[in-house]
Amino acid sequence: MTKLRAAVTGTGCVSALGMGQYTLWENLQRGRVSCGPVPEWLFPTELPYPVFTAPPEPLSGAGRDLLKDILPDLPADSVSRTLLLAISAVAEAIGKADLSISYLRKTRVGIALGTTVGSTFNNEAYYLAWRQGLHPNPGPVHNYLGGNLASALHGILGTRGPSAVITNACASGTDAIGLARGWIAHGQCELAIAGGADELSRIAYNGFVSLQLTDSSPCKPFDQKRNGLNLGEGAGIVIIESQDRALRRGACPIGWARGYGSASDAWHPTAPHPEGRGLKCAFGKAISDAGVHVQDIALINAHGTGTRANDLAEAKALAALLPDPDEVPIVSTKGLTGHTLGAAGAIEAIFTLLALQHGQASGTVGCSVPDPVLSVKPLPEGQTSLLRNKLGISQSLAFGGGNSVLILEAA
Amino acid sequence: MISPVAVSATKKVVSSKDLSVPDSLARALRRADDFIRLAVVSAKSVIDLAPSRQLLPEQIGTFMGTAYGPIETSFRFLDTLIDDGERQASPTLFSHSVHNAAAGYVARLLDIQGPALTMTSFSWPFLTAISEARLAVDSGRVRRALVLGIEANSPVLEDACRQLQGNKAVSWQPGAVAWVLDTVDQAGRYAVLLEDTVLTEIPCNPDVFLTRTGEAWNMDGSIPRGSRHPMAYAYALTDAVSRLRYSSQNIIKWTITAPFGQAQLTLRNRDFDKQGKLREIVGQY
Repeated sequence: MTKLRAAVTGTGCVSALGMGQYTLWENLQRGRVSCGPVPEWLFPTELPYPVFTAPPEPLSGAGRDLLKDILPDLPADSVSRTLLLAISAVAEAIGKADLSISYLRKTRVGIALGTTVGSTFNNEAYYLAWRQGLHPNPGPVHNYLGGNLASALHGILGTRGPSAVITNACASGTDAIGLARGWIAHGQCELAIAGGADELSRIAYNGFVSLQLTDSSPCKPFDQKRNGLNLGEGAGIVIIESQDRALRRGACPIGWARGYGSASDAWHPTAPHPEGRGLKCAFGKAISDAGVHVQDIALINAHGTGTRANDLAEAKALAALLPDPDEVPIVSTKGLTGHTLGAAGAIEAIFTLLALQHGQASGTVGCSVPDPVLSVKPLPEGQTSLLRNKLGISQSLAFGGGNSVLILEAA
Repeated sequence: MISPVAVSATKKVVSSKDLSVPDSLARALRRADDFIRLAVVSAKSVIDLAPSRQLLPEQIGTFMGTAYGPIETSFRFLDTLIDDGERQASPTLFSHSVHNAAAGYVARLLDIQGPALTMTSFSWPFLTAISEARLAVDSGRVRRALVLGIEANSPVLEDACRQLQGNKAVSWQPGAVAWVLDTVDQAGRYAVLLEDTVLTEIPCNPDVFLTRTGEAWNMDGSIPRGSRHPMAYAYALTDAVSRLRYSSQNIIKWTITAPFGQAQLTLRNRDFDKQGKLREIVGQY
């Protein structure tokens, strides 16, 4: 176990809540919900399940400037929407951390990113042509091979260091931050760019529909009428450094990644263990890794997808883990972003840090009447809670039975 | 600084005919695709080969590296969507098309409750998995790591590869490698120590990831060898560990280079100390 207080010196985020951390925080406070039918520009569908889309142009001004400065000739159609979302979040994060490209190129930089859609070859036109016995131009394959998020970002930034794309389904973003913290602890790199990114895709959308996990109205995490999740898209990026290094270069930490734990349910391909077995184990490991006490936790940003099974299992685990569950606000932010899959853990880690920084948590959008069957009572929509200290948890559960937990502290 | 770890057992599955599913797993794997079968069968085989240890399920972790994941299962899911329409797509195929579905099966069927990390890289995903597993063992996050490298066959990618290589025929057999890593103090008598891993990637023309043009590996400066198969480097490294385990050689440096980077692993025979002297074998083994 590391007990390392890895400094978070920059964050960047893009989601249905908007681009940039300040927009995001304002919209989070207002509880702005921009959930709607799948827009035509994204993909055609006749299904009624709404989604949370990021802006149609996924590249922010800062992201465009970053690309223009570094790779002015990068053909836009060769880069996936997932990578463009990631670039926007990276540009914001390195700006917040006051890092220049020249500094990054002199530093051993690790890049760990989580994704799901971003790791698959989902070019339907190519596949259709291939299926018909044609020999389509391998351009889309070329783009797919060039689209590994971590390798592509190293290439764009011109940085060298460890590289990992975590494909742990919905826990990928959380795992990527935990893994990058481990790199810092073991001296594998001096600075890490970590988080996750995912775009909405027709294939994933239909996949979740086929599993009957989607709600045909905006999702209602922890609510008694909850009926499934809505997919979303976005990216979340954090810059992580050792505390010493951050202070040496004059950076002002936003907070710290204090602990990380992950564990498997070893139970079912798509359903969580009904008692949250793996989550309990991951939670315990993260607490131990951080060297803190459960009583010190002031906020829990739950996975809270809005599916009946997830929310039930998560609530059961938290009831067993927390000495007094009524004392700790438990929230889900998926009613504002949708489920952004590989990006979710990273976006929610940033939300957790923001709430801890402001000393206040907003209630779970979509949760009007908390389900009385749940073993804990989440903070419902419209309520706020003042936080008693600056230590919180962001947790993710995933297909395949993965559970990952981050302990975060705001400065 | 990361401490050495012990490679306690290794297993290779180099073709479909090696992929015989044990009776005990046949029912659980009846709906599984090749990618999942490769993972579970190779994982079970290597755990059976490794020295028995009294460990809790949560003290063992799974670290999987893959370049393409269950790509053909994604296409099968897409087939159901194209042919049968929305609302008719197969939920089983979708759940199996997720990259970490295989690690989930391994965890469930072998009762491994520690972390399960699936990593995707087009360069050397098995080496990435080894690096992360080594960190996890060294940091105490796990006491034993199961490391897997898996690639299934993909006719779609084979065809693209053939085009990129000027219509030269390419054939990939599905393949897997599996290692068990332990802390050195818990390693068996014939374990090989993995002392160092250095992995550096550099930007390149992405087509090379598929064609593997210019990729070559060697041991201690021997004549470099290469192959067009995406798992060939992992097979070669696994062979190097096996050879060292039963040889009188002390140490090998295994090196691989490609247009997309370079990597070096230092492997030492368990029975030699760092000065190259044979260790006295004591009863702890």
